[in-house]
Amino acid sequence: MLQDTATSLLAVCGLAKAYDGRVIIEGLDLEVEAGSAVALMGPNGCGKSTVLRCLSGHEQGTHTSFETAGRPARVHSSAYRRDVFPIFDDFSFFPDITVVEHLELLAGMYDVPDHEATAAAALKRFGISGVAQQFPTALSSGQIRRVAFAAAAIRPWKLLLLDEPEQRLDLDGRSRLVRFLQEQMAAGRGLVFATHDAGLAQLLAASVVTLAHQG
Amino acid sequence: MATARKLKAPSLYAVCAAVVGVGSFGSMSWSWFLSLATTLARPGAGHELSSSFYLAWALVTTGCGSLVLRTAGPVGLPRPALTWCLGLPQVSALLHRRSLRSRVMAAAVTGGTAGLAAMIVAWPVSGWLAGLPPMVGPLMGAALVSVTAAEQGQTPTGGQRARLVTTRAVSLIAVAAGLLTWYLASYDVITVGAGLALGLVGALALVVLAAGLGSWPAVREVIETGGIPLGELYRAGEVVDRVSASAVMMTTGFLEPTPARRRPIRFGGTARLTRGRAGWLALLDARRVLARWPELVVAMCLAPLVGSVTRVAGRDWGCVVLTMLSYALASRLARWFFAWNASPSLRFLVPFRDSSTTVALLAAPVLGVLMFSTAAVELAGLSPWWVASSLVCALVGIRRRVVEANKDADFALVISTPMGPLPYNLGLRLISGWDAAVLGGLLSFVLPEATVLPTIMFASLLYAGWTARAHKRPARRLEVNPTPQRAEQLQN
Repeated sequence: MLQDTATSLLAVCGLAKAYDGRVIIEGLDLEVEAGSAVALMGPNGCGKSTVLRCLSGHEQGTHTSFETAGRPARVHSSAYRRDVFPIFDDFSFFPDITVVEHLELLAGMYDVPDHEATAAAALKRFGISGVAQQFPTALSSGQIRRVAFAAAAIRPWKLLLLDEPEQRLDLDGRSRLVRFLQEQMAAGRGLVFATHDAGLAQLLAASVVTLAHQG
Repeated sequence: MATARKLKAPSLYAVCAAVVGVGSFGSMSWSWFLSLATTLARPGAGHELSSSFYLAWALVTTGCGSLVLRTAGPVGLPRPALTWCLGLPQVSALLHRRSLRSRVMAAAVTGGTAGLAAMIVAWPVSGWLAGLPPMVGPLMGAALVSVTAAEQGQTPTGGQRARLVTTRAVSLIAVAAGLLTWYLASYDVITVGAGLALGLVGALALVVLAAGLGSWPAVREVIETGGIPLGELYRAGEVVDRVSASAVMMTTGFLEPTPARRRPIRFGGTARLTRGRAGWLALLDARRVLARWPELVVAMCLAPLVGSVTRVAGRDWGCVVLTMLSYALASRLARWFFAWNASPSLRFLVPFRDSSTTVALLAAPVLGVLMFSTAAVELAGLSPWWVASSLVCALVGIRRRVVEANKDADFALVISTPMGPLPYNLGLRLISGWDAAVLGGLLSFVLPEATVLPTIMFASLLYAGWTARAHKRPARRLEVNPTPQRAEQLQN
């Protein structure tokens, strides 16, 4: 059993996942404490993204226990969705609204004071103020990533799930991201991310979990 | 190079509305006009008909046609899609549209047809003035298509924007005047709108013609290059970028039309009351819908279609068309609802309970359908019960579409039919939603007026219960037996 659940943001025991009988993940134990980061590393196809998607509820896996803050978690509940924020490749937006409108919508839904200033600050933080009035469909993949991180700067969360966050970012974007994540962890939030970049894991002082192909 | 102009995107809804609406409206109206002409040919027939009624109908048709051509016409594509469709014919064979020359000819023929129809209608009240529409119609159709294509092929100027706004404004005034005339005509108190109607149509024609003459150099260039200026072809790079990004990153960017530029949505003082609640989501959704007002106008312009069908084919078919159009409008307005249901990442962005979010995101579609169906039922003279019935049918259709979209269906499944192979799941996905609307409308054939709504409500509740039960049913668990080595590790 995982210990010290008082500071544990997420604890999963015996996580397993198979596609059509092909085992991808088997008996994975994972614990994320407040203010810490866990990096999932390993070769392509070893199940890093699948682990993240099981944690977010995008995929259904089996497990012996799944807890948030020491209590059993229901991945499809609105309470779980408030605490956990996944940013994967399929990050999407509401249609027909611009980037800044999207962020203002987000700020308003979470009752963030002064939503306009908050959205503008988030855009500035990730260097995308210039695309504020554009529609997300007109952005490059790197800009979309930055907008997603800007959303993470607005939306309150306790645990952030990132799938290869360094991908599609230039050096500037990457340094902004690292700075942002370090600040969030210093504020007691947790982070689970899949990456091929050992340097990023080192920068974030992450505990590394190395996955391997099953079978 | 100046930034490309963001033109109105031809969404699937708008294209379908244009094709179905214009096609059905046109074919039925022709039969109507033929019967009208036959009636008018009889001595003394003019006293049997309210000519202003038909004049109003012609006015609405003209206004709607202008708006449809402008909003969702074949040349309403945004620039990247236009480049894709016209500049890369080998790759885009499926998307390829007819050449501009063909489209101009088709528009001219359409305009001539409408003009002829208008002449038949207007003859009893306007005399020689009724001879104008057949002459102006072809020119107006050709000019509309040419001008729109030309505007896509060049950097916009203030004058073009002004002409676009003017054309739309005159179209809207024509539609409004037509509807007003129609409404008054139904009470047989009208002769007021006749002169105004012809004046407005004439003004619209003049504006469009002036715009066409002013843009003639650009029009000529577009025609000579087969649809797009050669100097603009490099913009295909924009398309290639988006396609590459879509293919590599598995995004749907290219498949989604680029939305038109519009005024930014701003939150006023009332918005603060809803902050932190689902009402905030509903409010922004409503403002998003209002920001795309031309779609609402096009939808409202289709309301007279229900009346036309009711008068031509009878009340039952009018009900079917009403429920189908209500569903079409609701599904268009419910884009956020569909997106929220389809995207797990959007679900993580919205902090509210699913039930609250559902109510918030369906508020705008419900209001839109209520407005549309109230107008359509009033124009068609149907029972007011059909306002509620069409709304319920639209909501059930939305639910059907969401449920079918969330199913993990095998689209490769093909069943053999006497007419050939049929992709079963794909067909099911395509008709989901529409089936509920059609079935709801068909009830008018078999049930008395007063029992339709309770029946639809009862069936809807049954369906909602059934789908809710199916969703609550626990999913199949995929148990994984550890490998011997892993089992040994776990034991240790």
